[in-house]
Formats: sequence, C-alpha cells, structure tokens
Amino acid sequence: MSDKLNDIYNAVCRLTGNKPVTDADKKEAIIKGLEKIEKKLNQVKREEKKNSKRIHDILNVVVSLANLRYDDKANVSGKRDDFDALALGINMLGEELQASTVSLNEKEILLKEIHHRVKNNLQVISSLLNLQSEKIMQPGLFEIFMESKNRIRAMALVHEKLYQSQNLSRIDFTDYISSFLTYMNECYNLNPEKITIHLDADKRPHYFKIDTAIPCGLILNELVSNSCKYAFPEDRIGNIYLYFGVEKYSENVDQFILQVSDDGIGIPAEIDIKKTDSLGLQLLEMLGCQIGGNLVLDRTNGTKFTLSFPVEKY
Amino acid sequence: MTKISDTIKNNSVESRAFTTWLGDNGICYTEVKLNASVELADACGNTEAIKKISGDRIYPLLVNLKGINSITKEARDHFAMRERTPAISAIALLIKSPSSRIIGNFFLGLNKSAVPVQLFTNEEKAISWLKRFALPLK
Repeated sequence: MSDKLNDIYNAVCRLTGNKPVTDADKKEAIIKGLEKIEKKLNQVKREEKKNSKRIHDILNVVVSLANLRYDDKANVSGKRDDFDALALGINMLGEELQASTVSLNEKEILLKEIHHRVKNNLQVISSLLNLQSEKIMQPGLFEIFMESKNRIRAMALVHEKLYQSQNLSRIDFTDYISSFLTYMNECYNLNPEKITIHLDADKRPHYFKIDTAIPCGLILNELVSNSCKYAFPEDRIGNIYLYFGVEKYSENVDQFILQVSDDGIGIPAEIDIKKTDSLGLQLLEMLGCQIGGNLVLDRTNGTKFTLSFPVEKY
Repeated sequence: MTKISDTIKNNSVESRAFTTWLGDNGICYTEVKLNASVELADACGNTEAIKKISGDRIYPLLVNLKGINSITKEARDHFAMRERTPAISAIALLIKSPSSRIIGNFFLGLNKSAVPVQLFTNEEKAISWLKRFALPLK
C-alpha cells in the first residue's frame, strides 16, 4: 500500500475510531469508514436542519412579541436542551408580558373611571350650588354661589378632558380653552352683539399635567369671569381678548403666556391686586405662584392680565 | 456517591409532578419529577404537601428543579403569591438543565419572594446555605 493510501487509511481510522487491520483489508476498511463518515455527516445535516427549524420557530415567536402579539408559542420538544430552554423562556416572557399588558389596561380603565367619577361628582356639587342659589334673595350671596359653581366647573372640565385624552395624565390646554369658552358663553348668557370673545390661541397642542391644568383652568376662569362680570356694566358693548401661546423668555428658555384682556371700564385705580379682599384676585396670586408663574396687570386700556409661566416638556 | 437527599426520603408526599419530604437535617425537600410539566393543580398540591409536612414549624426548602420540563403561568403565579405562606424560611432552587436554569431565573427575577431565594447547581452547597435558616430540630 502506498504511503498516500496509508495516510488516508490512518485518517479514516482516527475519524471513525476503527482499529487498524491488515494491509489486505485496509482498502475495504477505508470504503466502510468513508460510508460511516457519510452517514454521520448526513445525520449532522439532519440535526442541523431540525435545529434550524427550531431556531426559526423561536425567532417567529420573538417577532410576534416585538409586534406585541402574545398568543404565539414556541414548541418545547421535551428534549430539555438549549433550544427547549430558549423556547420555554420566550414562552414564559410572552405570558408575563401579556399579563402586564392586561394589568396596565385594567389600570388605565380604572384611572379613566376615576376621572369620570371626579368630574361627575364635581358636576353634582356645581348643580347643587345652582339649585340652592335659586333660593337666595341677597344678590351678593347669589354671586358667591355662582363664582363657586364656576370654579368647580373649571376643575370638572380638566377631569373631563383627562378621561377623554389618550394619555390619562395630561390634557391639551388649547383644547381646554375652547371648551371652557363655550361653557362661559352659556353660563353668562353673553349677548354676542354686545360682548365678543376673541380667542387667539396657538394651534399646536400644549399638554399640561393635572398639577398645572387645574390652577391654569382656575386662573382662566377668574380672569374671564372678571371681565364678563365687571368690564361691561349697564349693557356696554365691548370685547374680551384671550391669548394663549409660547413665547421666548430668554435665548434658550420658552414660557407660556396666558393673557385675558378687555376694553371695558377697567379695574378701579384704588384696588391693589396684591392687597385685596377679593377672593378671585387672591386666588390669581396664589394659583400663579403654584405654577411658578408671574401675573402682571396692565390698566392702560381697559384691563389686561398677563400670566407667564415656565414651559414644562411632557 | 449517595446524595444527602437520597438518604432521607422517609414519609414523602408523592404527587403527579413532585416528591416532597422532610429531611432529618431540618430541611424540607421538594423534587420535580423528571420531565414534569408543572400546572396549577401541581403547584397547589405542592403548597399543601409542604404545609402538611411542616406542621407548625418553619423550614428552609430545597426545590430540585433539575428534571422540570415546563411550568404554566398559573403555576408560576401560585408560587409567587406572597400570601401563599407555606412554612418556609428560605428557598434554594437546584438547577442543572437549560430549562431548569431558565425557570429558576424566572423565579428570581419576576417573582419577588417574601423569603431569601438563591439558585444552586450543587446540592451540597445549597444545603449548606439553607442550614443557615434551619431551626434546631426538636
């Protein structure tokens, strides 16, 4: 036997584990050994094919999870090998994710329900005040009831917007303003031929969390109510202007501007808004501070209140 | 070598998926049967078995997960319940196969137990750790 053939024979022996035989049988042994190797290779190929199918199966489930679909399950063969462990792990993760999603949805529904109930309860309080006010004979007391009713409605509107919003933790304040003005028109029964409300609000949505939305809603209520009640006595004709938008405070800092002005008779000069007995004006100071804002009164042409407060990114 | 757990399987409680018994070393043992797929009924049965074995005492628990094939979400949730309160002071999870490794880590990661839990691949080390939580035998 040539050296080359002998080398091949030795290599086959090493690969198959066959023991050396006589020279005469070596050729036969090489053929049998190669057949054995071929069989093994085919077996490995079959295994690879099976494993590749299992990997594909697991990958499909991962893709489903990435698409937030949790019903797909990877097949666990029962071999308790690495592929089974991967399949088991991915299945269990899917089940946990599904449970978390259900739990999150339940919480969201619950939160919506809470905002809805808060709004309903506030509306009930507002209606009760309304009913009770019908029996009041003293005009001053009636006013107080109405003011309280409007404040409650301003807060109820925030909760209404919250449960209607996609994100239950914030509302679009631009949208709030337009709903609020509809309510104010109904409430004060404003005659459009005499008093016109002009709204100039940024068209972009500006989202406020409840902590900002409630004080801003109350401030808006105080300012617009103030103009509606006092600016145009004795059927005077006039305008109420409402501006809401974002302006530059400094080069890198923006601020919200909420401005309510009217061309009415103006606040009497002797009233100092920082030292007043009026609950409405006291509230403006207090609520303005609560949101880190600055309230400025301009009396040059009617009344112009400008509230500026920092922009928070939500 | 004879394992410690093999020497003390007296008065064991057998169920479809578990064998549970109290060792004479003050440790409670529960072993998942080979290729068992643990379901809610198995998990509840296991809790009952541990309660029955423990009586009015609290024992550390060795859970041998080596043979486990799978476990359902309901069964996992049952084991994760804090109010389940079987008489356990600590849990050592014995793992070996890739599947048992995954399941063991699930218990560590997703289910925050009220008692200390640790994973082991070595039974002797697990027992030595559990003994720190064992009360002296009566």
